[in-house]
Amino acid sequence: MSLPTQTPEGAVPDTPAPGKGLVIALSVLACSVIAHAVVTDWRPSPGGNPWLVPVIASGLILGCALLLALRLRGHAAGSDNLTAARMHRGRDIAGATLCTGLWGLGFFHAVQEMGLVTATFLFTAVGMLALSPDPRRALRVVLPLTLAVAISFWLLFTRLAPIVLSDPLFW
Amino acid sequence: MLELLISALDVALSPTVLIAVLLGVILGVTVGAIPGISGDMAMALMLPFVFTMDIAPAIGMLMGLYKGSLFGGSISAIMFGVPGTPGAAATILDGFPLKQAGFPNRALHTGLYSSIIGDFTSVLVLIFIATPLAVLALQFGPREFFALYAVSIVIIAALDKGRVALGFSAAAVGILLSMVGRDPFSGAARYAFGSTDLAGGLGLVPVLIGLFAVSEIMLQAGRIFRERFAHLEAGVRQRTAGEGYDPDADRLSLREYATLWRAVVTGAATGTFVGALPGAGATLAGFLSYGLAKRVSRNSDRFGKGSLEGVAAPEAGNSATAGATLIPLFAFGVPGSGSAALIGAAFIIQGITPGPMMIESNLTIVYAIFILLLYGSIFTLITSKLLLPHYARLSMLPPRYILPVVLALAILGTYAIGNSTFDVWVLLAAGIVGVAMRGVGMPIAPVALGFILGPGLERALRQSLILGFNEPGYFFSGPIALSIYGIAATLLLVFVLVGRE
Amino acid sequence: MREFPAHRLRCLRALLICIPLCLMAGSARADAFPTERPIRLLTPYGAGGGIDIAARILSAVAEPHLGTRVDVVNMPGAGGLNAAMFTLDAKPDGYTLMISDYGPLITLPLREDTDYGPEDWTPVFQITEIAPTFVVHPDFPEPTLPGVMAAAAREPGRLHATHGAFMSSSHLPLLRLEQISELRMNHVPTLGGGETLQFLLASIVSLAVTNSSSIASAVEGGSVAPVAVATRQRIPELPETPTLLELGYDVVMPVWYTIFAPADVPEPRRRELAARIASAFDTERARSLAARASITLSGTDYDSLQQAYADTVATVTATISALQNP
Repeated sequence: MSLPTQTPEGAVPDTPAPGKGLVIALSVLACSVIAHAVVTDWRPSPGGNPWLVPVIASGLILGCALLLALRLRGHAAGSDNLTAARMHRGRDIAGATLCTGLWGLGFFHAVQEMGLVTATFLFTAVGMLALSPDPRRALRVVLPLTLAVAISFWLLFTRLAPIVLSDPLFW
Repeated sequence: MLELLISALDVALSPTVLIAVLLGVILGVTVGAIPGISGDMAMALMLPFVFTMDIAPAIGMLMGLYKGSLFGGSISAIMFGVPGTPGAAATILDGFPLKQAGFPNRALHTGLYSSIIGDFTSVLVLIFIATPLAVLALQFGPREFFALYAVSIVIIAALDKGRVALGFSAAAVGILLSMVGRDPFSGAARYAFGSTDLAGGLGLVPVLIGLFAVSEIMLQAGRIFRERFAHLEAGVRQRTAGEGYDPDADRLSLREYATLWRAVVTGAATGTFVGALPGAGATLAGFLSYGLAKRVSRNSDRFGKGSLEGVAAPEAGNSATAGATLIPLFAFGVPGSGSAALIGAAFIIQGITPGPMMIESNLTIVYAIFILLLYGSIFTLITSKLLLPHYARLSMLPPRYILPVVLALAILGTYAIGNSTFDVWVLLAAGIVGVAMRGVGMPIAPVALGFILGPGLERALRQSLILGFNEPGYFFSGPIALSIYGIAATLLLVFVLVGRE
Repeated sequence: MREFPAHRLRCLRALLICIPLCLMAGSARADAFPTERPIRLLTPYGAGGGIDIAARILSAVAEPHLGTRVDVVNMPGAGGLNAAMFTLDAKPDGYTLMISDYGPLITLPLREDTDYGPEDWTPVFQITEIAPTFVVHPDFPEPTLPGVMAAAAREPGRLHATHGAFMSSSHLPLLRLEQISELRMNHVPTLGGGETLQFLLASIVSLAVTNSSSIASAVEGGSVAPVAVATRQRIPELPETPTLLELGYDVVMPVWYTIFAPADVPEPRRRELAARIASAFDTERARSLAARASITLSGTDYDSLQQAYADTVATVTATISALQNP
């Protein structure tokens, strides 16, 4: 969390400048959509064809990629600084993203298999503890908090906006 | 006339109606703030109860829900960067940076006041100039919609100065994502690769919440996880609500709010107009208001970094659709949005078919609805005023407690929409895509907008091609379409000239 | 605190009585149907549509007659495929049903590679029948179906005709009419009822095909003129409007909102459900709820319903195969 002494402006860290990778990714995406449109045997349809808008969008992407590439060439020197620090940071972010994604998948499956309340309690508690600097001390806050969360989830998703759950082990 | 007004007041101010509207507003603000559960969904869940209620309380409750959720959606947009309802997606762009800078209360209040002003404006428009506006809105055929969507995309994609190519490619990526699924004109499954899930297309809510919120959660969780060791080593305790956050520095004075008038007026006008168009909706209204307000702002370089104007405009815009969306419904029986369709369903359940006949045969009810729409705004103001300081405090809790709960809510809320496991996968995948996009410096807003407008753009384009027998001239043959292109060209020219100096 | 043990004893006694009851329930399972647990009624679309409202009416009146709750579950997505697959994948015990029009059950499997076909479903109870209605703008030179057909014949393929989604229940009658009359029109697909009506009101198109209910108010107000309905008999809401059959075109493609069970649900259970749902709808409350929502309850019995379903399958199959092999 940022310091409140900061001004509202300039709170967002500056975003990285688009690099070579982005240009290549965009071009590959656009070309593969166009190639797919050419080789696929689409059902004929009125008003253009199913591939009309995707091909237009891809054309737009290709044009933009070209512009970006030209600009990169313009000030090429500064953009190729894939330093070790940045690589390291990238790996960290990828790891965190993966873990969070797996947590989400695990939580959703646990809701189906173990039951809404149990899964919510367990997963939010694990999540909070994993992010706490001193898990043992945080336990005093985390336990009542997650219990309250689990109960409100139960109210929300079985009473207010019921979701379809398979027959779980617990509730 | 006077008698009519008195009988309408009698209906609208009866205690049951007052309570129903208030209940709707409270429920709407609360539910709207929950990611994934949009106002439409809450209204849908209320429909069964409408069976057992009288018409005035039933409609009052639904309208309260709708209005409340339009603002509630921005509460979670500002607090957690999660669009509580799709309409609040544009509010994230500046609302969330403001919160991160420690000013949740200012952002929330700016959003609230703008929301109320936008809403009030559009209700007044509904009451006084609905008919001419409706006639204009009705003339919006495929050709006109194509012009509107194309111009909207240009305005939003070119949001960032010097990053126009990036913005356009992001919008195009969004359009491509929206093409996944069945082609509405032939039934062909596009980019499904044999999967029936993909053939069903990607859902709006999972994609929006994934791109904006899940990616943010993923990044924050990673950072906090790493910092936790740093703090252990340095022996520094993390800041908590009591220590780091200063509620006094986070007040919004009315004088300060008044300086945002340009943004509010832009938003209210844009939202009212867009809301009156059948099929455009609150999300487009939010983004378009944001884009236009940035153009007219004196401080446009602050947009995206935590500008109060950047909260005021989309909030006024998306809330201004509340009254306006009823215009085509009341005037012609054409429901212009998902919400209007649900309100129309409530009317039908109550035995009143929305449309021109309604105004002739049930005028008292129509007037009563106008009145309750007006005080519905006031209820939203009061309820939110009471709740906001607490919400602001809540959002300043340490993120280590908030993040797991928000992600769990986003997952279950997304699942609750259609009970589809695939939606949950899309949500998480969109989160990963969002992280990647932030990593390579691609703006997210144009992707979201492209995704929202893609299907409508395609429908408008291909309907126009059918109606014009594939003649390109058809696109430029109507006066409304031509004026949209004209206005857009003028705007662009002005911006270019102003940008030069 | 003294009372606590007594209370406990009562609990125990209740439990002891319950156990044999439960055992009995187990042995007499067939008789207990459908009262053992709530019935899940899937809808293939979102809330607020006609099918959803019909389902909610059943849910509101079901309990005393079915002996259990009916939970409506909206499962929109993939054109109804999600709801259909969920229903078919559930245990075939009659506790998971689906309420649908014919699109997800007949059109979808005929056009796409789905894991099921129309024969995997059996209709249990028809709630209502809705007429696809052909409407024109009142300013149309000759606002009758022959007038429309003459205009279409003058300029083949140039008369704009709008309908709901591609291959939806409002598009198929139009296609069938073309196949029979050998006339071509220019078809403009839309999102559905609202957009269809807008295009007609704004004179963007000349002819629109839509549900009778979505144009009721506009017809009453005189802003659109109905010219034909695609049902076997004229409908009570539009007594003046002829059927296509009367006009010499064999286009009978009514849309119905029908409750379906997977075909592997035992026949006695289906009949039991049909009888109980029928008695739930044969009440004052159901009738008044339906009347308020402008739903005309259809009183088709179980056996003629099977025939009606077979007829729709045949007509839709004929229309679609004529398209694919012209």
